[in-house]
Formats: sequence, C-alpha cells, structure tokens
Amino acid sequence: MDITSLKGWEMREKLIKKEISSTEILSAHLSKIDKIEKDINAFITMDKENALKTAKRVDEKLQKGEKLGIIAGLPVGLKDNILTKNLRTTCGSRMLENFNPPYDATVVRKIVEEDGIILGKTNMDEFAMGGSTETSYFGNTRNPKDLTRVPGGSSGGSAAAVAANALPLALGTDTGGSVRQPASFCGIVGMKPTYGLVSRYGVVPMSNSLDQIGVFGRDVRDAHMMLQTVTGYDPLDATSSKRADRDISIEGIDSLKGLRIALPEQYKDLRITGDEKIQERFKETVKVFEDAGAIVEYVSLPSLQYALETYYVIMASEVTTNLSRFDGIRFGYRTENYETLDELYTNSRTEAFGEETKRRIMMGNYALSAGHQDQSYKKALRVRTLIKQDYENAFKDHDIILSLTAPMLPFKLDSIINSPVDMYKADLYTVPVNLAGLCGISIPMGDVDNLPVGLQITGPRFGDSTILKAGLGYERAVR
Amino acid sequence: MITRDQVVHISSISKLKFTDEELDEFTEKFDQVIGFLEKIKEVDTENVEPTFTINEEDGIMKENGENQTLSREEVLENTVESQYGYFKIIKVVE
Repeated sequence: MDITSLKGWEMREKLIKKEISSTEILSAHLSKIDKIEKDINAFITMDKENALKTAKRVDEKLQKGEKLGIIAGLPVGLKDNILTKNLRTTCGSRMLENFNPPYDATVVRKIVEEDGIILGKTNMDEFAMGGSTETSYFGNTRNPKDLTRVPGGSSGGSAAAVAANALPLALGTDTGGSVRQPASFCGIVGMKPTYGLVSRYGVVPMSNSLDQIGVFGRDVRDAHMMLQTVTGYDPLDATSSKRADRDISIEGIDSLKGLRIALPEQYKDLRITGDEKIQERFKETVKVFEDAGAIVEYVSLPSLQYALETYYVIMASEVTTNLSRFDGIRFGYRTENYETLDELYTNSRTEAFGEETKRRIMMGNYALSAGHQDQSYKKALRVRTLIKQDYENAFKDHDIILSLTAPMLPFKLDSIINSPVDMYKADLYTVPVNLAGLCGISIPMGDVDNLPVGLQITGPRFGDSTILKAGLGYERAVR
Repeated sequence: MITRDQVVHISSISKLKFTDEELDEFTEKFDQVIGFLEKIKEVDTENVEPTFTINEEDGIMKENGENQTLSREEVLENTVESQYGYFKIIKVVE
C-alpha cells in the first residue's frame, strides 16, 4: 500500500486503528518528496528533524491511549509567508532569505495542538504577488500534472505538494484567488474561508483587508479537516471574528436536492480565447447539480463589472503600505553599498525585491500619492461596498453561487499568458469573493485536454459549512 | 499621460531605484492605473460608505493588561548589526 496516495482522513483512520503509525506516514511522505522534489520544487525549507520528533510523540500518545487531535499524524505544508518560530520564513523573497521568525503564527500553534506534523515551508510567488509561482526568489514550482506547466499561484508550492502526494494537507493564503486558482490548476480542493474565520496573526500581510489563510486537500473532507484545525477567534488578530468560534460542521444532509444556486449573469458573456471546452465542462457540471435536484437561476450582480479595478486599487495601496516595513534595519536584507541612511533604505529594497513586487509598490504609491487618495483608495472602498451589497442581495434567495474558478488551463512555464485582457478577465472569478469577505472553494470538475479545471462554489459570509456540504454533495454525485 | 518627473518622484517615495528604461516602462504602466481609476470614477457612490474592513464587529478591543512581548534578544535576532542591545545603523546626526 502506498500510504501517500490515501486521503488525509483515511490515513488518520488507519492510524487510530493502529494499522499504520505516524512515523510510517511521515517516512512514506519523505521518500515521496525525495523522489519528486527535484522535478516539482514545491518546498523552500524542510523541517525533517522536528517532523520526526513530532511523529514519534504522536505515536507515543496513541500507544498510551491519549486523545488525538483532528489532524493527528498528518504531514502539513505551510506557505512560506506563515511565521514559524526558528524555522526560516522567506515569503519567496531575497529580502527574507535569512529571516528566522521569533514567534509562531496562531495557525501554527493550532496545528501543533491538533497533533499535525509540520513538514516544511512551501514555495510561493514573492510576497504572494503573482498567479504562477514563477516570481519566487527560490525558483519556480512545476505542476505535477504536467511538468512543463505552472501550478498556479501564489500558493503554488502548497498546491503542487498536495497534488503530487508529497503532503496530504497544506495551508496557503488567498488575497484574490491565490488558494483557489492553484487548486484548480493542480486538480485538488482549495478553500478560502470567510474573512475573519481564520486568524491572520503571524501571516506576513500583503493586503490586510483581503488576505485570508486558506486550506488545501485532495478532497472536500480533507480540506474541511484542515479548516477545522485552524479556525477560531483570536484576540491577537483585530480582524478575527467572534463568529469564528464554533464548529464548521459538515454533518447532516449533503444532498443537493433543493439547494438554491445562483449563476451570475455577468459571467455569461465573459469569454476568453480558447475557453470553449472549459465553458462546456462548466455547463455539464451545473447540470449535475440540476439533475440532483438543485434549483439553478441567473442573478445579476451589476457591480461585478468594477470588481477588478476596485481590487487592484485596494490591493496595490495596501501592498505599498505593508512593504514599507522592509527598511533593511530591523530584519531582512541589508545592502553593503551605502553611505547615507537613505541609500541604506533604497539600495536594500532595490537589491532585494523582485520585479513584480517593485511594480506593485510603485502602482500603490502612485494611487495613494498626493491628490489621488480620495479619488482612488477611498473611492475603491465605496465601490467595494456596492459589490458587497450585490452579493448580500444574491444570497437572500440563494444558498450558493457557482462559477468557474479560472477560465483557463494551467499555462506553460515562462509564457505570457494569453493577452493582458484575458489575464485580467481570468481574475474576475476569484477577486470579488475577497472584496466581499465571502467564502469560496475550488473543487476539481474533471479534465479538459488532460489538464484539471476547477469549479468554484461561493457562499455568504460564514456560509463555510454550506459550501463544504455542497462540495461533498457534488463529489458524491460524480463519484 | 504621466510625466517622467512624476515617475521619478514616485520611485523616490517608494525608496526604489530604477534604470532609465525601467522608468520609461512605468510611464506606460501608470496609464493602466489611471485607466482603473477612471473606470471606478464612473460609479455613482454618493451616500455610499467606504468598506475599510468587511467585518461586522469593527475593532474588537483587547482587555487592558500585561501582555507577553518578545525579549530584546529575540527582537534583535534578525538584524544585521546591533550594539548595546540596540539596532545599529550609521550616524545620522553630526
């Protein structure tokens, strides 16, 4: 039996029945990683030693008959923008190449409490900016389904590791689709929970009002298990919600019968070059829901037409502000080439930030610079209110929204993806979910030209159980 | 169209240096930002409040009390140079 090909929940069941040990689960994954990592490059830093220690501790607990946590004995990967005490955290940047965090993120503490085994830090686009994991200072990650293609991004290392059976579970972060899009590209499940459900304490921020930790698994049940581990109110994160303090239950009915589904009219005519087969697959998938008794209706979300512009203005403005903390003084890269304090700042930043990061800092500073702030950032925040209201209206009479996750297949490494206009449209499925603070999950809906495509299920704020159950219902319907 | 001088100004407040060619590219890229701003300007947002944060429970206050913070050693662990328990930088005043 190849342990790594099991789902996380299956590994856990076998562990509890003492059919396999935690150490065996870990060794199986370590050999897998040895075999494939040179091709995939999913990890930036591994932590074998601590992982082995933790696995032994879980085995001891099991022998003594102590209660085991939700993800006991399961190897977990963390995107490398989640702080781990004394384990290097780079954000995929030269800026933090040697950064050793002095504290753990809240989610790290929770994984340890639930007996998970943190195995390593996964590759990502620099400071989570990008959609292909190609802007990492530590080299690009390849898609395990086709090594000539990107895994998506920015959480591409986590997605690729789970898809390649190098890990059953992983965390990523999602600011505009950075968990859902790589899940779609790698053929796994990726979920961005409701904003406020999972603590962001100890996550290097990109765009604070949009960032949310998300989870990866090879099926909905695994994604749920990972989510249940990390969810909960955290006083250390001022944007954490008290409504997060409860079970995200997937018990009970997961039948699709009577489920009220909305399809946004605005996506009907949103087409990109070469998306015919993907659109066809989406239609077939909607039919699966209908055949199982769901009620499907079109709804209008008129403000969606402004979602992308709104997103870019808010994101770039917040990115600029966040990245101003990198001054070369307290932590991070410091240039050797300076004579004045100003040169220290400027040369450290110029030498250590990558191209895309610099571009976004510049865009944000332009949008925020004198005379622009009221017309740009605050204006975008007002349009954001309208987008949020459109969704609130749609969810009055509907349980979930169905759409594509991305209207494209994983593209070739080092390629310019379609036209800039197509790229721009491609984000339009995932970005609004962050703007409105909703929850969304990407679930594989089969292959097109032997490459995976994802279905996105969007739910209202704190509708996380609803979308997970709809996902389970869909998995059952197509099994 | 944004001028070259404006681009230089933005790079200076961003504390970033660029080559001449890179600066030229930014004049084009900023046009895209202007395009974004023009598009959202179309929207009627009169009497619409801005959404700074999506949470309903805006700004939960912490209990006032003693909180654990990082030790001096931990804070200094990631700097390039420190002295007498402080970050060390070059002399900035005569």
